[in-house]
Amino acid sequence: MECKLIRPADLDEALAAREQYTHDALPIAGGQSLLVMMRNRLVAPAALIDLEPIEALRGVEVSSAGISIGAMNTCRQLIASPVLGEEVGVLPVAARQVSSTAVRNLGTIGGNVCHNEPGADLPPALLALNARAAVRRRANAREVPLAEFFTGYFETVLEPDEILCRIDIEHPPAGAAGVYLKHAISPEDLAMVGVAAVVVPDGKQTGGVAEVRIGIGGAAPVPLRAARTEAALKGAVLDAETARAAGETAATEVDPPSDPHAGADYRRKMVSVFVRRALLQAARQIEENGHGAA
Amino acid sequence: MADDYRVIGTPVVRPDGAEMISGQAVYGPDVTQPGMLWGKILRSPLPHARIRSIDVEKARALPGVTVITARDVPDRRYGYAIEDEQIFAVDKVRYVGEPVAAAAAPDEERALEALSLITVDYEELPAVFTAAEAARDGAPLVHDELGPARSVYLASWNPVHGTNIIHQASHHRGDVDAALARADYVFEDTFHASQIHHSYMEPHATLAAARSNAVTVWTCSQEVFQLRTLLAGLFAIPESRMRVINTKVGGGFGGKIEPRLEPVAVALSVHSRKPVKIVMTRAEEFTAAAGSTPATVTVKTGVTKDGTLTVRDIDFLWDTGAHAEGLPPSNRAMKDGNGPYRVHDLRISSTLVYTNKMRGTQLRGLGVPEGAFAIESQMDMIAERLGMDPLELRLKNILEEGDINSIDDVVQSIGLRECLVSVAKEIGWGEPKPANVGRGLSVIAKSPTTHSSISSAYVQFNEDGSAQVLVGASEIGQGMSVVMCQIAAEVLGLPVEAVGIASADTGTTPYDRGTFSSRVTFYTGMAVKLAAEDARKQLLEVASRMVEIPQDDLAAAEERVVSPAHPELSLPFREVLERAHSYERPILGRGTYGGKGDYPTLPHKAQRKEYVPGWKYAAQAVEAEIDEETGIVRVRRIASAHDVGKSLNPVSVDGQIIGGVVMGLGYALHERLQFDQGRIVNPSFMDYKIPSSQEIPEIKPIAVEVPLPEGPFGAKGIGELAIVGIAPAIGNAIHEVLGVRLKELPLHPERVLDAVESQRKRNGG
Repeated sequence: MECKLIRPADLDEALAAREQYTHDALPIAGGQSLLVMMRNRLVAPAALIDLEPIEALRGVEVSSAGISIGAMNTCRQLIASPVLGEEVGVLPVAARQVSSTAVRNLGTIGGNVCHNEPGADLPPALLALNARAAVRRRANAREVPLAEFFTGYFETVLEPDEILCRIDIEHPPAGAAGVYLKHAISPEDLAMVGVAAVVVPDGKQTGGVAEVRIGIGGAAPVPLRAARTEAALKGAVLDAETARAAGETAATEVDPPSDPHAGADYRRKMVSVFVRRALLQAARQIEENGHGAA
Repeated sequence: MADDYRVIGTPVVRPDGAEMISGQAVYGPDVTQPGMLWGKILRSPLPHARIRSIDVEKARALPGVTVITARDVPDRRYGYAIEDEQIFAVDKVRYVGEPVAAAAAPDEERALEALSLITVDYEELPAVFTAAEAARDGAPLVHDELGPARSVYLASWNPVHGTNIIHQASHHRGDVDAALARADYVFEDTFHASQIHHSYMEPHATLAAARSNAVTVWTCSQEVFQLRTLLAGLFAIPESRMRVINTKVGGGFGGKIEPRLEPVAVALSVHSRKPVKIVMTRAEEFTAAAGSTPATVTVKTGVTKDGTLTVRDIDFLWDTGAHAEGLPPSNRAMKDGNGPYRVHDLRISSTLVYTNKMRGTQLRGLGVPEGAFAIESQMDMIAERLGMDPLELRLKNILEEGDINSIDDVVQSIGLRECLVSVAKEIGWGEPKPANVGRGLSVIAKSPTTHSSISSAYVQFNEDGSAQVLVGASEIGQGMSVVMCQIAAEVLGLPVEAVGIASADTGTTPYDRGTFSSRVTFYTGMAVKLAAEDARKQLLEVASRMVEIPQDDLAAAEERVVSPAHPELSLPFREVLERAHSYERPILGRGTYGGKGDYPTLPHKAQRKEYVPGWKYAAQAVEAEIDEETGIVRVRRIASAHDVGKSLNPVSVDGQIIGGVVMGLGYALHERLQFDQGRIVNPSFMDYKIPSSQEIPEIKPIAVEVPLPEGPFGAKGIGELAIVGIAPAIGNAIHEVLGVRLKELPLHPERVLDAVESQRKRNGG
C-alpha cells in the first residue's frame, strides 16, 4: 500500500493540495484515528496532507469577539492552556478525558471534530459552548455552527477540498458553569454516553437559570444538542426534580446505537442519568462559587 | 521444613526482565531468516458451508507467489484430543475464520493480493450457534462424522455418534437422589459463563524453514514436544528431522498450547522451498485463533438446616465451537466442578458439544472458572437463605487435611482455611462500610494434571564453575526461567547469577510435556532439582578423587567444595571442572519427574493407585463500589491468598497472583466475545475490553505455605487459580449492595441494571 505524504509549507499550499487531490487525499493532523484506520485498511488514501507545519492552524487567540482555537491544538495543549481554563473550562475538562496520555499528546481538536467518532469527548463540550467551525477552501471561507457540522456517522459537512482551520467560541455569559461527564467502562474508551452542560444562572434566585445548553455524545449517530430539554429549562429553577425531568426529556431526544459496548436502551437510560447529574453538578458549582466557570 | 535456604524463598528479579521491557527480547514476530517469504491465510467468511470449488489460478499467476489449498497438503486429520481438523478446510467450512487457502510471497502486500485473487464457491448450510441448540436431535451436524480420539486426554471416550455431542462424562458417588430427597433445603440454579479471549500481547507467529530433508520451526508455543510429534506425523517425517524452537513467548494463558499457524507455515515452506513466516493480525487472533470454552452450569445442592453441605448434582454443558479443544476443561470438570468442599453424595456430568463458531480451547484455569462462578455464587445464595455469614458457611464446609475430596483421594497439605481467613481479614470482612460498597468471597481449588505429566532436565557445569540448566518446558512470560535457576543454584551451592538456562527447543533440550495447568514449578522444578543433585554428586566424585576425601564427607557451598570434617578444605569448583573437562568427563546431571513411582513419600495409604499430588487451593475477596443508577462496578480492593506450598520466589509469586487477578477482573466484568450468526463482532481491543491500568484496584497477594512433600522444596503450582474466584466474589459483592443475583457473565453494567429493574418490577415498584 503506497501512500504519498504531502507536507505543505502553509495553509495556501495545503488548500491547493486539497483542491488537487480531493477524495484521493486525506488531511492528517495528530493521526491518532486516521493511522489506525489505515492500518486496519478501513481507508486507503493515495496521499496524506500533513497539517503539522501550518502555523495558521495553531494557537489560541482571545479577542472581544471570543476565543479562537487553532485546529492543530492537541488535547494536551487544550488542557494546559490557562486562558481556556478560565474562559471555557468545560473544554479542557473534556479534553482531559480523551483516551490515554499518548493520544492526548498527539490528537488534535480539529482531528477529533472532523473524525466525528460516536462517543468522542470534545464535540459535546463544544456544542454546549455554541462553538463554530471556521472552514476554508482555496476560493473562499465559511463558518459553520458546530450543531450543523456533524451530518452522520463519521461524517461532517466538510467537503473534500476544505480544511477545518479554527474553532471559534463566543465568551460565555458571566457566571456560567460548565460540566462534562463521561460514562465509560475504562477512562480510555470512547464514551458510551458523554454529556456536557453549560448552565447560565439568572442571578436572581438560587438555582434559577437564564439558559442551559446540553451537548450529548455517543447517544446518536452524531453528537447533538438536547434542544427540547434546553427549552424546557429556560427560566426554570434547577433542583433535583427539574434535573430529573430534564434527564428524562433528554432521553427522548437521542437515537442511541447498539454496539459491543452497550445497547441502545442502556445508553438512553444513561443519557437520562448523566444529564441529570451534569445539571445538578453545574448548579452546585454556581451555588458554591456564587458563579460558575463554563 | 526448616527455612535455611540461600536462594529459595528470596525475591530474585528475573534476569530477562530488562530485555523484555526495553524491546530487545526476540518474540515470535521478531524472528527472521534469509530469503524468507510472508504467509497469509484465506479464511472462511461463512459459519457453515459446502465448498463447491476453489479457483486459485489467478493468484498463482502472480510472480513469486505460492498458493496452496487442501489439495496441496497431506490428507491427514490432527488434534490433541480428537483428530477433527485438517490444515485447510476439505469439502466444507465449519466456522467463520477457518483456513481455506494460504499464500506465501516476498512481502505481506503481495500475499494479501494473492488471497484477493482466489475465488471460493460456497453453498451455505444451516448452522448451529449455541450448545443447547447443537445438542438437540436433528440439529445440523458440524462434523458429519466424529474423528478418532487420542487417548492421552481420555481414559474412555463417550461420544454420541450422529450428533454434535463429542463427549459425555459423569462422575458419581453415593446416592445423590436419595440425599437430595433427605436434605433440609435444596438449591438449584443455572449459571452461564461467557467466552473470553486469552488476550496475550504477542500474537501467534511462526516461521518454518523446510530445507533439504529437515524442517525447523520457530514458534511461540507452550508445548514444543507435543507440537513436534504432531507436525512430524502430519508431514510424515521422523521427529529427528522436525525441530521446534520456541521463541520468547509474549503470553500464552492456554492459547498457545495447540497448533495454530505451524501446519500452514510448514506446508507453505515445503511448497515454496523458502522459509515462510506467518504472524496473526489482532483481528485474526480474535476471530480465528481460539477463545475459552464457555459453559452453562446447573448446580443442585442439598444442605442441612445447620448449613452442612450433604449432596451436589452438577451438570456442565460446554460449547467447544468447531473443534474439540474444549475437551480438557470439560473433562476436568469431573474433578474440579465441586470446588474445595466436603460433600458426601456427588454427581457431576459434563457434555461437550460442537457449534459453528471459532473453537474454544484451554484458558488459564482450565474449566475451573466456569464451575467456580456457579458454585461460589450459589454458596452465598445458600448462606442468605440459611441466615448464615457466607464466611462461616464456607469455613464449615471446606476441605480440611484428611478429608475425602471429590475424586475420593485423601486430602493432604491443604492451606485453604488459612487462605480464607487471611483474605477475609485483609478485606475487612464484617467491618462497617457505606451502603454502596459490597464485599464478596470465594474459595477455589484445582486438581493436579494427571495425564503423562512428565518433565526432564539436564544440569551441566560449565568450565568456569557456573552451571547451565536445560529444560523442555516453555518460558511464556510467567518467570519459569528464574525459578529453575534458583532451584539449581540452591542445590549446587552457586549464586543464582551463576546459573543460565535454555528452554523449549526439541533439538537440544530434554523432553517436557510443556507449560500448562500450573505444572512447571512442580514437575519441571523437581526434574531440575534432581538433575542438579545428580550434577552435584558427579562434581563431588571428581573432587573426592582430587582431595582424597570420601565423597560423603564433601559438600558444595559458595562455589567451592568444602567438608565439615575438614574445615581447611576449600576447593573452587573451577579447579574441579578443569580436571573434569580435561582428564575425566564433563559433568551432566540428569533428572526426570512425574512418572510412575515418583511419589514415594505419600503420607496416606488410602490413595487410589492413580493418585497424583499437587492440588492447588486459594481464597479471594473483593470490595466493590456499585453505582445503582449505571450498573458500574468499581472494584476497590482485592485480596488473593494462595497455598503455594513454598514460595520459591516471592516476586514471581506476587506477579502470578496479580496478573491472574487482573485477568479475572476482565473475565468478571467486561470480557466476552460477541457473536452475530457465528461472526465475532468485537474483534479488537477497542471493542473487546480487557482491564486497563486505570481500572486495576489495589491487589494484595498473599502466599500461604503448607508444604507439599512431593514438590520442589515443598512448592505447588501458582499459575492459574488467581483468575478463578474473582467473578463470583464480585457477583457476591453486587448482591450484597443491590440484592440481585447475576447468573450470567460478564457482570456488565447493562446486566447489573437489568437485574435491578427486573427486581424492582417483581417487587411491584
